[in-house]
Amino acid sequence: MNRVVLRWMLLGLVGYLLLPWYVLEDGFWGFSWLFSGGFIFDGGYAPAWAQVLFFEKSWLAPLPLFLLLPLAGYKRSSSDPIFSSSLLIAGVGGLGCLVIQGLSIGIDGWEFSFLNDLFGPLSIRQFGMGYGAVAVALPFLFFLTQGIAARGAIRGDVFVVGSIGLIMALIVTFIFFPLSHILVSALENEGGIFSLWSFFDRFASQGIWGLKCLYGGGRCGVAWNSLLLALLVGVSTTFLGFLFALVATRSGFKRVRLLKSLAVLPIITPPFVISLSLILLFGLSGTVTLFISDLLGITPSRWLYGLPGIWLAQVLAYTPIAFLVMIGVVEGVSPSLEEAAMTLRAGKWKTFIDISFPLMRPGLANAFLIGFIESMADFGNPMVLGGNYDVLSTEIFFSIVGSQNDQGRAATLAIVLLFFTLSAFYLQRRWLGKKSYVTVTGKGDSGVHPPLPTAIKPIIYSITLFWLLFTLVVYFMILFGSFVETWGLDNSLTFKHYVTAFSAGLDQRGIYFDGSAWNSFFTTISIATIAAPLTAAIGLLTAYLLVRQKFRGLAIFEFGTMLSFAIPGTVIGISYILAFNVPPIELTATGSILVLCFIFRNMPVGVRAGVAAMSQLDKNLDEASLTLGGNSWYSFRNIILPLLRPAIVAALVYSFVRAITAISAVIFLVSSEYDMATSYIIGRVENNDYGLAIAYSTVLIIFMLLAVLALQFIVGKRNLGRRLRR
Amino acid sequence: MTTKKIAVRFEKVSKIFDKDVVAVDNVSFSIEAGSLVTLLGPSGCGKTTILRMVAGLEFPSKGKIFIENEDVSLLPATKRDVSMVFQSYALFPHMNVAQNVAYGLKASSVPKDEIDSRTEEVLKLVGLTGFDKRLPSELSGGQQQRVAVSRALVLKPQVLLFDEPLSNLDAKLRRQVREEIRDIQQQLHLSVIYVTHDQEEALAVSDRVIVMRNASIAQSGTPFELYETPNDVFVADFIGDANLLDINILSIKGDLAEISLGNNKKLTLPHKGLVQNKIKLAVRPESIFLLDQDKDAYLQGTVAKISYLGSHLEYLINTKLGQLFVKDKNVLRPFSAGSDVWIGLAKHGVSLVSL
Amino acid sequence: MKNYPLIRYALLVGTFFFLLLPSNSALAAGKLNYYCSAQEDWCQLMARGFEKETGVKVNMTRKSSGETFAQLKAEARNPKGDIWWGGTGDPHLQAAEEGLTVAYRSSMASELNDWALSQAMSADYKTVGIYSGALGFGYNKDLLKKNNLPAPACWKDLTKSIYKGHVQMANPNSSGTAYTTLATIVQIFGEKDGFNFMKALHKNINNYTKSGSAPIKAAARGENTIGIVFLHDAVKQAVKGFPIVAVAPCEGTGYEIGSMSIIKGSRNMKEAKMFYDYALKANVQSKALEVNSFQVPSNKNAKTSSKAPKLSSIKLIEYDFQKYGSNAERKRLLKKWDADVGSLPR
Repeated sequence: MNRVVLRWMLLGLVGYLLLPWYVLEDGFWGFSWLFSGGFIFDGGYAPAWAQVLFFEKSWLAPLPLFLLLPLAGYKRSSSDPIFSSSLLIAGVGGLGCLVIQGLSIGIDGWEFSFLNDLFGPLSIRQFGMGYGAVAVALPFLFFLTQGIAARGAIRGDVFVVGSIGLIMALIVTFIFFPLSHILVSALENEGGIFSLWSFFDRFASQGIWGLKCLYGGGRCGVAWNSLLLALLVGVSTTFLGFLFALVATRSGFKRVRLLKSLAVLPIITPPFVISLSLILLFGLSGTVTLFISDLLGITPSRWLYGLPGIWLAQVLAYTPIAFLVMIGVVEGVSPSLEEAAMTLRAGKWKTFIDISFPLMRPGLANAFLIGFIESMADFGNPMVLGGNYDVLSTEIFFSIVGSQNDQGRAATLAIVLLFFTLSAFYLQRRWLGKKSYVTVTGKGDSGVHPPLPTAIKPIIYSITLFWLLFTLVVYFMILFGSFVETWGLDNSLTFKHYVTAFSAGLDQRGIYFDGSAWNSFFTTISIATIAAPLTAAIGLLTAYLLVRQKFRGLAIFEFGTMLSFAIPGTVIGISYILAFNVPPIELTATGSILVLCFIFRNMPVGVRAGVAAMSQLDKNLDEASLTLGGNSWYSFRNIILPLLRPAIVAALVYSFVRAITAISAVIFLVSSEYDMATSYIIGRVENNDYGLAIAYSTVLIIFMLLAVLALQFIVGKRNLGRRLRR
Repeated sequence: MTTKKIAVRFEKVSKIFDKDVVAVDNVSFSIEAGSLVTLLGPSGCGKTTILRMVAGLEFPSKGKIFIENEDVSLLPATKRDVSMVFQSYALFPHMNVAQNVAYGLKASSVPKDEIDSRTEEVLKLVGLTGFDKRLPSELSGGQQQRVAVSRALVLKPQVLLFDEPLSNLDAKLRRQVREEIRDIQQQLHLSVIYVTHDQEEALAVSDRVIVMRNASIAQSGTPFELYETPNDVFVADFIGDANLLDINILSIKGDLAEISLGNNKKLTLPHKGLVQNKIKLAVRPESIFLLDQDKDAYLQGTVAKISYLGSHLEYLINTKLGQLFVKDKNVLRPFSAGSDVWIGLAKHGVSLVSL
Repeated sequence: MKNYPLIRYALLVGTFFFLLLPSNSALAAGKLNYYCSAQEDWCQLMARGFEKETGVKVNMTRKSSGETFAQLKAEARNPKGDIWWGGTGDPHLQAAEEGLTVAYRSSMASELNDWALSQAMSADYKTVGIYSGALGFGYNKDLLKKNNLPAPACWKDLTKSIYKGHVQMANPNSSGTAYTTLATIVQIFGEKDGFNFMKALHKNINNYTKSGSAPIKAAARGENTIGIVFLHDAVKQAVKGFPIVAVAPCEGTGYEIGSMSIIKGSRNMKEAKMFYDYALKANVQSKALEVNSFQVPSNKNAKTSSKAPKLSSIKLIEYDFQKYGSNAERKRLLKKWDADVGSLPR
């Protein structure tokens, strides 16, 4: 029994005795209950004990028993079995109690019909869990993990076991739990009754797997459409990214930094903005189209709407990501290996094919995987440019919001999509196998990368230059489009769109913002600002556990953390709405649901960044800290975190940017009070207000650019003059 | 021997990784307080795992570990009064020397002025006064090593652990630093466990050496015992160089056995309970005299190769028992390659070992 | 840790008295969660106007009617919204049918047009019409001229082979507008001929869009020639200055009734009803003109824009909202469309 256990117990007691047990109607930050005084006797605000005594919530009665149980281990050492058992029982019992009552008693009595049959109807209802429940749940989780740690798991490390427990609990609650809802609805027929048959019926449909386009006309299934698109995009982005990486590292090109910062642009571009720009360029009445048709007398066609258009937009959007992935790998190939090959009489070309290229395999595989998955999950571009080319992500969306409103179909399509993305992950792992590709060692490597073989140099140069120019033109169009009255109709320059969206002024009361975009802009910024550090923190903590700790279930743990990356936003959005609209966890229409959605959707990136950075930190560093008497939390804070600064920035920037540019999940989760920029913009696009939409996007791009630069500036400076490795 | 305090005791400890990789197999030993004990063995023999178990960085799969008679088998590293100097030093690159040294004191909430005085004191001890504001990257290898030592020392641990502390230093510095470590250990009466694969280093610094092989203890003893009377071929060969010869046991009288190397000159040595088919004779290269005549010789051979090393000469001698490696201090009278020599044996450095 | 016994004592006593304070349950009065499925500026206009008049704080969410319906369904067991205003009538009728909305008979009923009342009646007063708009199509006159095409005037014209690749409509599976088109065609030509018409039209369609008004927006930007949409959407693009001409088909046409419903389980029922009455007022509906909404308001006394298509000049059919708004009929027609039309090659 120690102080820490007592402190947690105290928190639990506060939760049980003082805090409102159920979620408050006036929102998480509503503190009116506090100032209303005698809230104990108000059913909406009462703490748990009052709920038991005055409001017949008898199922909350056993909780204090478990809360106080660890007292049995009072004054006992942590290796005493009574200490660990009392904690274990308290943790398992308390959490079990909470979960069971939460899942089985809901907003209109029993949640499951068999309970109704067993105990008869229940007239008392309960809402979602609030402060009180959270304050009670946390100590239980702590008891459980502390109990496990006391049993000697993971060298008895309370912090590590606790972190694993916490992250497991979060993953289960915010990834597996919502996903299970969507899977369940895939297995239900229209009447909401479990039926395996209806799943197979939906699954086997022509709409998904049909191959009519191959013979005798007709359309192919969405599954094939998505797969074809994703493969094309994956290959193209990898190829282009690879070429750019070669130019950047092996051609004497000096402006690598500039290229890298340019590559950030598409990442901070809200989705579908590229599509809009492409329409303005290549649409039926696009600038380029008209120019060419006038010049050559070709009838303009609608080629942009469909596979070619989506492909083009996605390749524009994801090539820079592929480039950023590839450049690390291309740079990482140790020059001395290449030099060794050349001294062994291999020509430049042979060296490249036999040595350099195979060593870049992991980069190629990663770049392809990212392109593939991003394309699969992309929603904005197919939405705008799809034409008749249906893909899974839009089909899922329209199965739910369309006039058919078929949740089961959406869920089935989501499963197909998930199957594709997870298979891609699996194949990537298989292909890379267990070969070691680590060529960056601690030893100084002073060689120089050989230049590109002269035969292919001009080809590579012209392709990359063309693509670079193309990208710049697309971005120029975005900027230009925001200053034009009405694109294509009235090309006079104007600030109108910016004024409509962002007008602000000063009067006697101070600054006022009366532009139509301010509301969603401020919401977006604050949500992103809250989500980013949390995402980075959870991501890095997870990375620490994955890299530095070995425990049973590590593989499942990793799978859970990476799962949400492979799930398209639409699916996440729907599943969050399904799961968190009803007790035990009520979050819909709050800002919290957006924050949570972003955290768990973007967490994998934080994890990846953390894992990569942490694998480069000598494990002895944290062990040294441990043997010097700093516990693992102390070591994590004082040793690992300071050394992970670049990874922290990467995770922060990425999650911040993703929270601002996300669309597919957000569209389901925004509410009256919390409207996001992207959902506002898509509303403008729907309304043919391209000018306003593009102006808003431009502002977002510039804002994010400044934010990213500021972050990099602050953190980059601190790292000067300090080498990370000994 | 008087009952000295025991600093560390292993009781039938095993460590198994990933269910079937046995890193340490049923090992028991104890280490007296105030002594320096070396774990010596080839890489992968389990010596570092033992060290990490003492530190609390690994927990034993079976068996118990005691530090000053307290069972610490399941006590996390943080709570053990043990410090460790890592092979890579593991200096925190973002902290300067003083911060590195003060780290452990800070973690255990020692008052500020005590931290300062103790840090200063220990830096003085290792001769790094004035370097306290430098970053590790601005120090030489030897200086980094000393920071690592002082960081561990400043906590005044019950047990101090060294994991191959000298492997990153060049040969000259290695000798100097190992003397310093030994001095500090003697001066402060520290209990030290020291891991190395360098037998010379082990012999030079240790009170006792534990030789490890394949996850278990091959032999333990003072450097003298190990060098002079190795138990088996492995120890004989691993510590120093040894010529291993097939011999015949002629007769056994009590603890002694009479053996012959092939001619009629006999040799009497303790047999340690070994039997004919599982026995070899281990002879240190410096225990062989090269004679130019048959008198007092055990064996005859021909010089196959000769190399001059300044302090001594090294010969390879072909005999009917195989090739012998010989170190001869007499550099003024070299035998030339191809000439016949006779082999004489010294009183020390010759022992019977098991296969 | 240091002890501050006095402070602890004060805290204890303070907490004790605090807990005994009388409860003040009159919290946050006057709040309305408003789901809007019309265009953004119209939604804003309604929300701000209501706030100004009543002092009730309005939280607005703008989503298409399909999305809002999906949200109502998802939130059915724990509704977050109070009132749903705007958007085509079908999802409102569906919501009524599924019991997601509640009946309310406004005192304003006497001022409403007959079509609005009959729709309300068919839904047991769980929804009410706030505006109506006739179906039709619009074309881009510049593009038509460029391609040397005659202006279409009737539904039948659209199936002529000269328009191949020039017509756009939404996919009835995803869009209420397109479903209204399908139902209208079936009602004008009868089911058999109606589907033959759809098959013929299918050959000319260059793209089935997801959203109902997308075809005319594409036409406005010159990305498409003819779009089958609601006339007010076409007029709106013309008013914005795009070269769009709206056409009321000669065979007659169906129409939608933009509706309003109170969400079942509303936590602010009083405010929801206040909004309901407010939205049916003549002066409120007249304000739609400020935001270029060219639908016909449901209040007889509300002003109509001169640019709006006159319902009187349009041959409106007797649209059977009850039949074609029902889930069963909708599913049947959509399935048939998918099988007989949508899957055909073009």
